[in-house]
Amino acid sequence: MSEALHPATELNDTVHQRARLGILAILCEVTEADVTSLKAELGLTDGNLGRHLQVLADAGLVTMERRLVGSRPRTTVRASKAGQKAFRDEVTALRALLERVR
Amino acid sequence: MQSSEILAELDSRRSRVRARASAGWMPLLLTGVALLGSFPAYAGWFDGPGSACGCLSTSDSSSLSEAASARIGGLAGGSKPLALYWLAVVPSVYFLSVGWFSLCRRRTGLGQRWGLHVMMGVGTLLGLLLSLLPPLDQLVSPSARPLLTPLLALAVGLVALGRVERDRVLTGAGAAVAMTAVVVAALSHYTSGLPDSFLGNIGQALLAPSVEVAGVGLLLIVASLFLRRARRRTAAEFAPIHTEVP
Repeated sequence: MSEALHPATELNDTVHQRARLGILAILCEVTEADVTSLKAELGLTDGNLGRHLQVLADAGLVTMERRLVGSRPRTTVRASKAGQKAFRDEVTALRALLERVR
Repeated sequence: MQSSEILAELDSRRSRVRARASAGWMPLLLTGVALLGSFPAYAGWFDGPGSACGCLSTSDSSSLSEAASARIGGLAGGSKPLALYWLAVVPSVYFLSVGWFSLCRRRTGLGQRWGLHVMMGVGTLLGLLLSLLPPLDQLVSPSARPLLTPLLALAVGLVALGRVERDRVLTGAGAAVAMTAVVVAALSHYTSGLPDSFLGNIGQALLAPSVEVAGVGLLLIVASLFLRRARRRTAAEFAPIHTEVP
């Protein structure tokens, strides 16, 4: 007899972190965002944001691109297909967890 | 942190980002102004196609330049002012919108780069020009062409922008403009055979394509202003949420 897994097992360790969830939430609403706006939106320092972005990039959930706008370098971030799916799955798992608790 | 709190925070963050990034009210306003501005050209065309406002016949053009001119006139069922109006306005609305999105992107750091917009705009323009070539131009009757061809090009442009910008309001507005074009062209087609006394003066005035197109333009202008206000209110409503990394 197979029993449905507890929704908590569906949570993704890489995504299930407040700042990383925030980053993916933003990137799933807009096609891409620059690092400055992400920093302002999430209230993170350069170092913190960079670390979280690196974790997401290593997992293939976001892609980063550094280019020159005028004479200034600008880093833009966008969610990959896998990142968008991971975010949707995480929200679904959280909702399922919430339903179970209720 | 509870799941409910995380979900609430995500929802509010997404709403705030959507409100900040949403710039769709401007293309909506431009489209509304374009539709409203078409009123004199449409009114002139319906006063007497073929007689007023420099209308061209597509059949008896002898030289190459006349044929090209007639082809341009064919965009709007033979009305040169209407054709020139739309040939100037459709690309202008599209590229002004792209410029606006680019400006907003620079201000907020959120959104799409302009390369995709330009590609879609060029595609829309090519589609508009292709629709003038035979045998595609034969698909639409000359009486419906002044409404269908330019308005559908405008609608396709709006839907394309909506898709690129992930803006449901713009996509919806594009669909509404397309529907308006089809309905007004159909109404114009079916009521053109009716005697004047059948509709009466008020019926004729309300069913005049120029009035209907201008009416939709006015609705879009009002909707864009509401959207702008709602966007500003939503953006101001959500205070920034600061996150400390554990």
